[in-house]
Amino acid sequence: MNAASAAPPGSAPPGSATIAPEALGRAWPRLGRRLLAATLVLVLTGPAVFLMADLHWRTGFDLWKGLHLALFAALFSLVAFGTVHALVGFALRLGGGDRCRIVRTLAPGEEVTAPLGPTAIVMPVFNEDPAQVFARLRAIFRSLAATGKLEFFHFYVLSDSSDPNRWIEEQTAWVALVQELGAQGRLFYRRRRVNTNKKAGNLADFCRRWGRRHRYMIVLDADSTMTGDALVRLVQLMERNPRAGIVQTVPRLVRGTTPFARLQQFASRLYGPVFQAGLNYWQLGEANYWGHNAIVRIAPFIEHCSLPELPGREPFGGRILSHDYVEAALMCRAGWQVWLAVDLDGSFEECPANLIDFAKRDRRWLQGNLQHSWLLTARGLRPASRLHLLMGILAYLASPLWLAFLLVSTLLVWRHAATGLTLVPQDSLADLLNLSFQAQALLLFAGTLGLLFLPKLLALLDVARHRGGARPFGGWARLGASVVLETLASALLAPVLMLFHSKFVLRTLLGRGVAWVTQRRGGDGDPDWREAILTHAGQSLFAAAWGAFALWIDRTFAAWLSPVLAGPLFAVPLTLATGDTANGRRLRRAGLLLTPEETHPPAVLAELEHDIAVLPAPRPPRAEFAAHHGLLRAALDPYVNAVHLSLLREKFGREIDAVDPSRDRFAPLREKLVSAGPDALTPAERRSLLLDAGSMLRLHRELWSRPAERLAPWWREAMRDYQLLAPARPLRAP
Amino acid sequence: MSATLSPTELPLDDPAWEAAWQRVESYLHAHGLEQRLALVRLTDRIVARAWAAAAREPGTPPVTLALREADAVMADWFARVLEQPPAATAAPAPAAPPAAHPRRLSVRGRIALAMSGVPARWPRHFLADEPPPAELVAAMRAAYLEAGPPVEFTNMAASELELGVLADAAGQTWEKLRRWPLVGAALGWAAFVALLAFLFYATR
Repeated sequence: MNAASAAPPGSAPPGSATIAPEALGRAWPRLGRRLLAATLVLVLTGPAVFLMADLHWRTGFDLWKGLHLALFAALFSLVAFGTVHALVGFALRLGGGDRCRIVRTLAPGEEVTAPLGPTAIVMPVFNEDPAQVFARLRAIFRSLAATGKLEFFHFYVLSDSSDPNRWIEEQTAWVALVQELGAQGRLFYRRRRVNTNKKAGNLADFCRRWGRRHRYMIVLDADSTMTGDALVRLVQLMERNPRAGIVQTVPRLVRGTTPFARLQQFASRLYGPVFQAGLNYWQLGEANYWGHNAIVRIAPFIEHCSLPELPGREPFGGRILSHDYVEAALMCRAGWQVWLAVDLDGSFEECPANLIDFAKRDRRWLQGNLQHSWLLTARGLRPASRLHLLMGILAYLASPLWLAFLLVSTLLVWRHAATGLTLVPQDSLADLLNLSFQAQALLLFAGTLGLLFLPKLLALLDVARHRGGARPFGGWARLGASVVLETLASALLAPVLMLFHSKFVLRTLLGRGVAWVTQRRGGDGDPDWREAILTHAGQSLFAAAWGAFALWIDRTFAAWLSPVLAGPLFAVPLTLATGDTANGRRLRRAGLLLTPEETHPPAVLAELEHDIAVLPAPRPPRAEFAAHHGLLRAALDPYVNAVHLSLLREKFGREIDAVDPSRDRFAPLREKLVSAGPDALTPAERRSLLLDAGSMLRLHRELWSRPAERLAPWWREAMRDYQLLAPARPLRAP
Repeated sequence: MSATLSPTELPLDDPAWEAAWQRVESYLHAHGLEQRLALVRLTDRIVARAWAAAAREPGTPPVTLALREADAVMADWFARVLEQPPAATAAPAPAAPPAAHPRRLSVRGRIALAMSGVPARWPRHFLADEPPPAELVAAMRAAYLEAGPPVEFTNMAASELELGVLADAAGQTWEKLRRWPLVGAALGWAAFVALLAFLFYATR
């Protein structure tokens, strides 16, 4: 075994000699690669569809069976497309890795000698937990400082937070972090007053204000973490490849504590590398952008990637929600390359902790991806970009197609059972092969399962190529057990997601949003029974009715259908069990679902975990103040008030100097707030006050200087509480 | 200003002045002044000023007077620390910026306090009458909060995107249906009838 084969799984495969950017461009046998991938999909799908058609032919073909066959063909080709990625990726990695990878334009460990282009690290946030967000920023900042290249980077926290509590927490956490890191003039914070066009608008706002100051921006999500080395390497890649408009990294899922999150991160870590190698094989310089953990060349982004509006209104039209795919397509249309940096280590993100939160995220993504159907035929887009848009749509449309396939299957079996007719022997291929009807059906079933499981097998073989490759996953015994566990859990979870997605698609097509019950969480983020029951009750009833109907038709058919119905039927306990952090800890202790990032955590993650464990947890506000603790701090705390006022700087000077009481239109609101408490105001009124610098300054004075008997009981109690527990340090991270 | 409460003047039996004293102490504590002796002395001094002012404004509640005096003491101290030129004998300190509006100075002063940690590092000198040490002045003047670099606006116009014939047609239809709900409903009914017809045909 050579030295390279002892590398940890997921790292750069052997044969990583550098390639010149021009050579990378010349080496694009783009069409040939895509034709090969398409041929493989056809080779896998064709026989299966043929067998299914033959099966239907044996029992007499009709319209329902035609529909069933069409659904089968569509679904099977999607599965085959995924399998082809794994097959091609595995073959490439086995052969020493693809020649055409953008990371190969840099030599491994190449020293950075030339100055880097000025780069902004932007992190849009929206009501996320500031303690976690700023802990990640701290870890990234320190990791970057350790590279000695900090001088080329500036950090921007771009807040769209609408919750006043989060907003005030972000401000104080930002100041505390700037103080701690000595990052004045390097770590910035901006909160937009109006969240026009959501995250895409937030980034566009940054580009309009400060884009000219930077050559690149590295976009992070609120749950992203990256190592300093990865950040520097991304900039180096852009400098080396002047036609690259976007380089997207492959973030690894980390820090999962619940079984659900650990399942996701284990699956993506184990199966990901072969898939990504296959993806890069046909994408080349026309890859996709996933919206975060990526570097963007700002000038062409500003010139070409401002999003147009779609015809109609939301949810199907209007502003583009899933901006990243479209931005990649526009960048490619303008002649810039978009690359997927497979094998670039040091990029991480986190995963929703439970099935319900995961579905909520999918709800947003689904609506955004369905909007892309407007763009499929847009003029000037590259074929690869159209394929990315189509695959994004199908990623969610596959669920209703699968549901329809299962329903039509049920209908066919019911019709067959109801008529009581025996099979009409007709000429078919199966006759020639001497296959019974049942054997032919089993063959199809086995073929489908084989296609689904082949990528898992290939991923395990890929691990086996490296000496000690299973050790970071806990060793072969635990890795094998983890794969079995992951497979069983996926089999249960997939049908639940199918029902979620089908509902979302239907509601989106009907032009309606999806209503969610209020999120109620346990102390450590676990979903509670009430939320799980309200969310899954419909799915469980549907599965129970379907199961009973299948049982009534035919016991054997019900048995076949049972794996699909089991997940939705037991969705409530499934969600609770997989969303329980205690269960996650048990799995971890048992060495199941381990990933290399858990067994050998990179320094940046180790530091992040340490900070979160060691830093004093913020004192949660007392229950009676929890709803308005942001307003409370901004009004009462002299420092939080001062920071808040200085951040309202655009109107600060004008408002703060205003002395004409007749023009003080917020005076009645302030009086109401002080004398009757925050609940006497509407959320919009409270927000208005928080946005008015003059009011916040006067409110601070008014609250401190008014006799207690003229304050609302809420404020009196809040001041008493505050007096006892005033901050020991001027500003603390929340 | 060197007012202190004398024992004969202390309004010990007046709960309103007791409340004022507590409020001032709480306010100073909120600024991070934790050293008890400094806290008590400073509170005494501010309440004494308020007590003196009470004679001129008998109708004003003691809490209001006391906090107004606290603000005045702070404003005066911020002006001296942040805006007066450094004394010739003092150690070099960053040059003072031009005088700001008192309200803005209050905000800037509080931020400088927070960033330099004056109440915790120099409790004896916080709001004291005597000239502050040069190190304190330097720390206060060097403290700033920069939320973002100077803005350099760039135009970022939405990209032109021709959606193609199919999408254009769909968009126009969408718009029409939105404007003419009756046509939309009629089309929906037609689709429903067509579905029934299909089901009838498919199940024969």
